[in-house]
Amino acid sequence: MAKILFIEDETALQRTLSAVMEQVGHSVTNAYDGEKGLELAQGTAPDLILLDLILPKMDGFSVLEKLKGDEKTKSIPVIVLTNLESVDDVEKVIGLGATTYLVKANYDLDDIVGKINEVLRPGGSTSAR
Amino acid sequence: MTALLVLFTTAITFTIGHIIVRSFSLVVEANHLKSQFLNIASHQLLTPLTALKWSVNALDNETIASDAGKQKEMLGILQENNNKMINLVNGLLDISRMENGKVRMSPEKFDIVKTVKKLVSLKENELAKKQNKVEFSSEKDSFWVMADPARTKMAVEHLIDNAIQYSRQSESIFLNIKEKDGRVIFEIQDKGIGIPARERKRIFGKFFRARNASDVQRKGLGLGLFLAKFIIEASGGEINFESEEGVGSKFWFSLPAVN
Repeated sequence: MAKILFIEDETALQRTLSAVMEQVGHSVTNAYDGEKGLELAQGTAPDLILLDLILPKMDGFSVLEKLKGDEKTKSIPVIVLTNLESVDDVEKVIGLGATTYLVKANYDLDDIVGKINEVLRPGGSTSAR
Repeated sequence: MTALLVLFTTAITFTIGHIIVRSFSLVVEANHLKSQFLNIASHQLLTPLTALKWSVNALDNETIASDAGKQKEMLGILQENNNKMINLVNGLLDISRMENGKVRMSPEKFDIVKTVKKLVSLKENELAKKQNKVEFSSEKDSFWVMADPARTKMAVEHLIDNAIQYSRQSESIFLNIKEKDGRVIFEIQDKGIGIPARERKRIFGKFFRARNASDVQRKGLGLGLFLAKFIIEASGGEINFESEEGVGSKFWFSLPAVN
């Protein structure tokens, strides 16, 4: 079982993904904006972070930059989960240290759970989609 | 004389050149705005579409489907996001119809108290995000108005959504319905970010979003208040607001009352 932090401002997406994640044994904490997400990441040391990019208060790019610039959080794998799909966005988040980049609308929940488990496996990592 | 002619010709050529360059810039800018608009509108659609896809995925999971509470929750998400998509597409179609002068209102008698209560009940999850709550009051159990019910619902929903989005953490949103001089008046008041004084004149403008609104909520087309104003005025009503930056906003509209 892993502790997962999901930084996403859409409640519907939080609740659907959390329902499936909890059913496979992970615990999910939700944050609705970038600032809160960063605070929870620093305070709760999750095993993995799922990060949207368009967020209130602080966007996902800034959250990622701060996570990777902080000794306490820099080793936590971050999966960017967004509907932004431009090459520039993908290159930017991978450059900032994201483990992988998934376009939400293109994936079923089972596939996302599969990707999460892949990253959580010892030595597990994956490249951009 | 020749020098004057050359100077005159140069000035004319420069002016024509400037007009062409300016026109070209405007076309490029218009295309850029169009492309930016399509980008935002598509993204706005992708979010509820993803929610539909994921709630169906969740319902397809046997354990979740056999839990009555979870099943109800997922069906609620389906309903809420289906409504979001219909509202967004209808809003975009209305903008296009407005530009062609072809919006057809279908007025009928309906109870606005019932409409507002139903909308508030659908906003439970959005309200829970920042622990906001709605305090609803009405002088009577029913207030009947003559207006296009679907579009009025859309106008009310835009006002409620704005109040939720821009409210501060744990603050209440006050809704009130009353009647005065043959008009039913709907009021909604939030304790939120408010509207900066110099931007108030443009708040009902198409695609306009106040500076502080974009800071709090990056998503948004700037169409909600524009559509709300159009709908209310096309129904023979009036819409207005008062606001103070950092304190909150109060919007209200009136519609013809019927018995």
